[in-house]
Amino acid sequence: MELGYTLAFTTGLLGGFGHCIGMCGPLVASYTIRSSPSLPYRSSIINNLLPHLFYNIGRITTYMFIGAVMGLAGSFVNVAGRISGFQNTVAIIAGLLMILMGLSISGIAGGMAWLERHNNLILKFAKNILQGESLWQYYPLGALFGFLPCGLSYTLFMAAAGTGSMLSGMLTTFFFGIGTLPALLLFGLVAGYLSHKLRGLLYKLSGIIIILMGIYFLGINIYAKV
Amino acid sequence: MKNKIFLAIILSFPLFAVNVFAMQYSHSFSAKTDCALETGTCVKTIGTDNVQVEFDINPKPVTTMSDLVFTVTVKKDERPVTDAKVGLDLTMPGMFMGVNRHVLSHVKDGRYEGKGVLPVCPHGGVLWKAEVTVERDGRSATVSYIFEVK
Repeated sequence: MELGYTLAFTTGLLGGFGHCIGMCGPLVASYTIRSSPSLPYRSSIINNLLPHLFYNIGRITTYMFIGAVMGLAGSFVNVAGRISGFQNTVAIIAGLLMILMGLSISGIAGGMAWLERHNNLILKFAKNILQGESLWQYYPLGALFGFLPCGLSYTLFMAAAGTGSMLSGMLTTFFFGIGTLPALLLFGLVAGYLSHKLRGLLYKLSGIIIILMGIYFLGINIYAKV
Repeated sequence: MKNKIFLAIILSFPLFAVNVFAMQYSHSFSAKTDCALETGTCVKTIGTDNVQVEFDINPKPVTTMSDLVFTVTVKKDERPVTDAKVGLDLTMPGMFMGVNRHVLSHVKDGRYEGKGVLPVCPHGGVLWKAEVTVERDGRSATVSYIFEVK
């Protein structure tokens, strides 16, 4: 394996435990805690891992796509400038979804009943994410959130651009994504386990913290846009 | 039911505050600026050899997500050092942002340059640390500069 790929993998591994859990942890916790009680198929560690695996494969697919584009363009600043608007929009969507998931967890506003009364595309997507019980829903969620603005992944996108090749750029971000897997899978498992153990007040408490984190997420990204 | 939600709301605020505080201000506590690049270059002396290392980034103001030129000028006893190996390691204090390392090339009269980008921290971190390593005659020394970006 080339030195660049080893470095990308190691960066993902180290960054996963330090950076990713801190920054993306609330997001992973929100979809894990919200779905935990409603999914019947989670009886073993493998079954508990599957949603997170699908989510992370989606995330890594997006990293590979961005890495390939960066490598092809050979310029980080140009590509990053072009996709920054979309990334901020994804961050705002992530904030809104966290708020919705938090509302669902805490039981405020009658759960998701009001979503049933609305039929536009975005709300349908949100409803599917929030209420669906298919493992496949986690793949598009991960693919979408792979676009979230993130300082650590920017550094890897720079490295991908520096390779000057579509394939090398894609592989650089692939190995980075694989490196982040252990931390995020472990975090997802722990969050899932805790959400099964949380009852009553603590469960609602986690929902409200997720709402507040969503508002915070929304706030910093709207602030970044203006 | 309503009491539980109310109690949960009350209890959630301090936990949320701690979380946001950790994300927003961990950078500020782990380091303080010692290099005001917006007003000019930063000069430090390394070792006991009286080697002066001047650090600069252009264009100004120094912004994230843009192409930057990193300049290091090395002098010993006021004379330019032209045969050193100069490396630059860019990190964010208190937050792992990956490996952002550059080897600077000698341009002229002890001035070494390299191009790079500082990624933006979506959570508002603005402090960066540049560690300049100067290698010469089989010896190496490192000096660091902590600066702010826009």
